[in-house]
Amino acid sequence: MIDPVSAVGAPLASIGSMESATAAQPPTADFATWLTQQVDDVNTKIAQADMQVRELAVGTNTNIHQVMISLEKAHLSLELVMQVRNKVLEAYQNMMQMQV
Amino acid sequence: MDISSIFDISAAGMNLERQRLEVSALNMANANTTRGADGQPFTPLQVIVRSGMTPFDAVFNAVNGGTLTGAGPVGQVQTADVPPRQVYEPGHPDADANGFVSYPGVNPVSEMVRLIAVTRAYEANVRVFNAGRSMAMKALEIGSGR
Repeated sequence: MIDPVSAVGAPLASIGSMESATAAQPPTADFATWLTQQVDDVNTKIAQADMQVRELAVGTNTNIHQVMISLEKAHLSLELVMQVRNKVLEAYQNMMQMQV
Repeated sequence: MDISSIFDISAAGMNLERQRLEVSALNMANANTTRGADGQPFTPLQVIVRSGMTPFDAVFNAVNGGTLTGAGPVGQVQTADVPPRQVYEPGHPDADANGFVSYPGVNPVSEMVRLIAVTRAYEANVRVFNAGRSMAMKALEIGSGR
């Protein structure tokens, strides 16, 4: 016999509690501060990856996969900031197209 | 769990496989070394893999319900307890009183098999890394399908 389809209420309830937990604490810093911090973070990661590539080229660091992982991490962080920038620009364009 | 912790775990796995490859290369290169710095024939080495989880992490997880995973596996290089291979070469400078030379007990066949296993395990770690990466890239595509 095939088991009847059970309700998925329990996982949904846990998701709801997660949402309420995150919603309970308001953001402490404003968006501009957050974005600046993220950009700084990305910059640090790219500088780290660049440094490791240089070390690999010079021969002091021979850990190829570590270098590749650093590059990928930097790439992912940059991609995240780019996506956030796209969203912000999109919102700004929407605002500017508003009829007055 | 942060996606970069997956990267770190994969990196630990890749480090470990690299270390195993290094040890394997050392064993193969020294397969015919009859006298080392200590006057003894080369002793084959092996990598013992332990969890990178410290007792602190275990206690922290138990008390806090946290998910400290440590930094993945950690390899320790130890000498393998393999008896040396005795070869009758009376003219050899390292021969003993009976004319036998002690060669390291390196088994080229098992080293070759280990080479294949290490390569495949490294590839598996790279696959895990790529899976995490493509997951993150897919997540960044959320909402951009317009």
